Amino acid sequence: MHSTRVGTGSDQVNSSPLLSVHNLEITLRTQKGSRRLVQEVSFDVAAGEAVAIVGESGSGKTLTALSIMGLINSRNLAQSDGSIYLGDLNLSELPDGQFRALRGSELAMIYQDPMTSLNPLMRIGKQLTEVFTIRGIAKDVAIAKSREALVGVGLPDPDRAMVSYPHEFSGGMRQRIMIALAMLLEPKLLIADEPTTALDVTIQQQILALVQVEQRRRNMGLIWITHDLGVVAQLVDRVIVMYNGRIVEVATTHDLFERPLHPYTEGLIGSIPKPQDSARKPLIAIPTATSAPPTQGCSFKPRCEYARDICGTQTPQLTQVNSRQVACFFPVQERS
Amino acid sequence: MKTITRRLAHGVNGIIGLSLLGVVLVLVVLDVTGLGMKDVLAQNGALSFHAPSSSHIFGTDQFGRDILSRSIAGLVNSLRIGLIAVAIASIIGTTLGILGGFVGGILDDAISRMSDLLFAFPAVLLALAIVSALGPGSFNTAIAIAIVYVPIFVRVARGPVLTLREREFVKAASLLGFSSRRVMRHHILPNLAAPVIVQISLSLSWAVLTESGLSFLGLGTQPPNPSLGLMVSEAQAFASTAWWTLLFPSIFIVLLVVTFNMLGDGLRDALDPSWNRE
Amino acid sequence: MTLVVSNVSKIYATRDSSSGVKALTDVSLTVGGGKTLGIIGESGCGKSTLARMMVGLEIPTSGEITFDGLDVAELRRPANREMRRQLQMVFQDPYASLNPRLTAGVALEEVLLFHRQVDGKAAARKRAEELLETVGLPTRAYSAFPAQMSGGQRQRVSIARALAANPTLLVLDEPVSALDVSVRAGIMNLLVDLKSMFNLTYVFISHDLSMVRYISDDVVVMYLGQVVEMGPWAQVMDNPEHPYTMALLRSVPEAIVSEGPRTILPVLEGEVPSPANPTRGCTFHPRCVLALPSCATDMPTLAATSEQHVVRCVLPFMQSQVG
Repeated sequence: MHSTRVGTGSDQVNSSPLLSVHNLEITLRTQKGSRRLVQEVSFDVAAGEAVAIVGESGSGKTLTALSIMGLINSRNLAQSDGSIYLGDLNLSELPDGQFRALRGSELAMIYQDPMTSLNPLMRIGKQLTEVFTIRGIAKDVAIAKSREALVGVGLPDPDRAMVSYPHEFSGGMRQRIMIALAMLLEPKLLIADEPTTALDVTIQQQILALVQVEQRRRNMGLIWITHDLGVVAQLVDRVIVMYNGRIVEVATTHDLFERPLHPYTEGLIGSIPKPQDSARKPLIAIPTATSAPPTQGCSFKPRCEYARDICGTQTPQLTQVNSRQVACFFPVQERS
Repeated sequence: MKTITRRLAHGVNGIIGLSLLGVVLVLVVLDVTGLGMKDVLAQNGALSFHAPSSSHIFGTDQFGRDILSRSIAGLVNSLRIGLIAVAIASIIGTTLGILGGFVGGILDDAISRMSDLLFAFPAVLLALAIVSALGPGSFNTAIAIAIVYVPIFVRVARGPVLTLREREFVKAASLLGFSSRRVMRHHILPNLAAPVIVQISLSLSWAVLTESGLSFLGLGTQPPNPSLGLMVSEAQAFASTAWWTLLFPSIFIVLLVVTFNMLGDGLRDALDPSWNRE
Repeated sequence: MTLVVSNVSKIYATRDSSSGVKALTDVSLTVGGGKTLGIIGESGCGKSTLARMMVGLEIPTSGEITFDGLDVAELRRPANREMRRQLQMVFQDPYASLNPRLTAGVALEEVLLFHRQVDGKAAARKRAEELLETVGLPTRAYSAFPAQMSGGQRQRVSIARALAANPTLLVLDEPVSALDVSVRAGIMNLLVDLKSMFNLTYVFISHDLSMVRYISDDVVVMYLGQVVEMGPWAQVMDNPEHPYTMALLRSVPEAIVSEGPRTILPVLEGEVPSPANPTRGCTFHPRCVLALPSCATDMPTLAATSEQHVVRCVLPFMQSQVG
């Protein structure tokens, strides 16, 4: 049952990885039937490792993250198979109450919109200190630690920030506050779902630098979800590419950019103009999908210029190729 | 169009509304063709106050007239007045709403102020005042109701126009050189169809009720023409002995009001923005 | 067909403060001749306001914008219909750019017939189908409603609609920002093809520097409502002279990988100040690592460092004095 597990970037043969996702499957139930939005997703994240999950709308990247955080269990949308281990703890079998205790202290998540985590009606100071006080920590200790956290994320006037409301801050500042909030209890794993997508590029730079510093300092595991390959290239050690609910490629950052194996990855990287490109050379454009992805065979087939008959009848599995993984019958290196 | 009817037929409101509408339409057909209808005006003392029987399903009134036929005729009458009133109100109100919302400035202020002024009065009272000034009768009733319901259409149209005006496709239209009039007619108005249609149905139910109210007070359709409100008014005196003179006209009033109310709610559900996603 | 922006300023009045919000201050530039002008800048720089003004959707508080000599504000007059159709815009949001009640074909025909680009309904239909094909859509798109199309397809219809007017200059306001990454390249390629096909001039506005860099010949860098640097892309990119431009270019994460460790260093500290509270002197000086004391009091003017390269900063001119 254990499908191919991705090795971590460093040698971690003796200790179990920080996060281990096995064969994750998420199903949506509608009036018209059920649909698997995420399937056969397996990967590990080691302590101190930064991993990116790259994909577009419909790839299932956000659902995967929410599943790790235990935030998607409703009647119609739920994890239908697979398991998620944090160290030796099986998250999938954890009762709600225990999971809630983990969130913030072991696992934390930050989002594209800081207002998802920030209460618009509560002062920042209170929102931060609350994290400590509900766990029985004394108020003065909570205040000191909260203020320190704000200093740590580079807020210029922490004392004033403590008594201010979220709407008094700019987008970049709110992101910093959200990061401070997420880090308060020093979680072992931070999941970031496109937190800089809506920010100006110079502000994004500041946030990326900040997150990197925090991650290295605390030896924290980081999952960074994005569609921006530029950020991926700068920030992470390893990349997981998802398409239509499945993992299609896994590789170290260097390997991925130097030689992408999956046609989708190749197309994505090729579609971004590099500094030396000019309008004289067309960008690689992945053909648009004219209808919903097929349910049989490889779901990328309609847009793939290398597709052959077998791609329509069989679904390619994620297979190991040297130190990488790819789910394709005709990955790049075998083609040439 | 097909999807709307399908969605309409799936909601509870829509189902009830459509069914009742079917009943109403059958009655209209009966009145128009005269099928099974007895003379609504002929008086026959010998037949007065006959209880419901096989020859007179709803019984007869004080003048021996068949209540069923008169009720159907009255329903059609109310419907006609209501339709005329709502047609006038919706055309004038929607146009003013679009003009005010799109052009803005002083014109918008003037239209909004006028509309607010009319809104300040309770509908029936205002209609009463207008009919009193114009004189009783079916046509004046229609005018009065129309005036009373213009403001609601102004409001229903104006709101979405303010939003639509800022949408890129409307800006694109002005960029392409289209005149304001063209933009309002071809780009704004069609996108207002949904809320206006819903409002038309809802207003129709209120219009019918108001018309009945005015007729009840003697200011609407004048006797001997059949009018549901009038029939109810006249039946008050005989209600204890000849209950059928009161019951059946009342039921028909309720039928009309509920039909268009349910239809309006059903249309609102069927036409809500999620219909834009095929 | 040349578009000339002359000393344009835009101040939005606010209820409380007397001076209002300065969205644009003294912006001048020229675009024409079949070239592409890219406009870059971050939040509060005023590029979107400038884009709207260039096509006449907003009116400057001072200064003027002319298209082939005619004031752009006059384009709304029916008499100027011919000029009006030559200056068109493609918007950012593909979902709001199309009238939901019109099929793609009807939307195009409306433009074609209004501007008499064709003779009669049959010709209009044929041309509409041609346009749809030109922008890379299948013929059945003709009878499709926007709700039945993806974001990328809608954007293509928007482009086709703009083309239906047979324009000479197209202002593109973040045309691919709202689209999925894998769809953007296709639209960019289309835009490049259309430019040479129809001999168009483009103004390309985006916060995505790699896209602007890819398609533009010249670039304007904006900060807090002002032009801070302007020139051919090659010059500005290889030799940025304004500290903000330098920071901006260094902040763009590139999708290429080096062998060595990648420690991300923040290039630019602080935030863009609110346009409602402008500082004295150079607008960038509070965040400028190279700022001199004089920068806090003196507002630099745009001056040329080479024939086509202008910059609003004292530093490039000081270095030449030192040597």
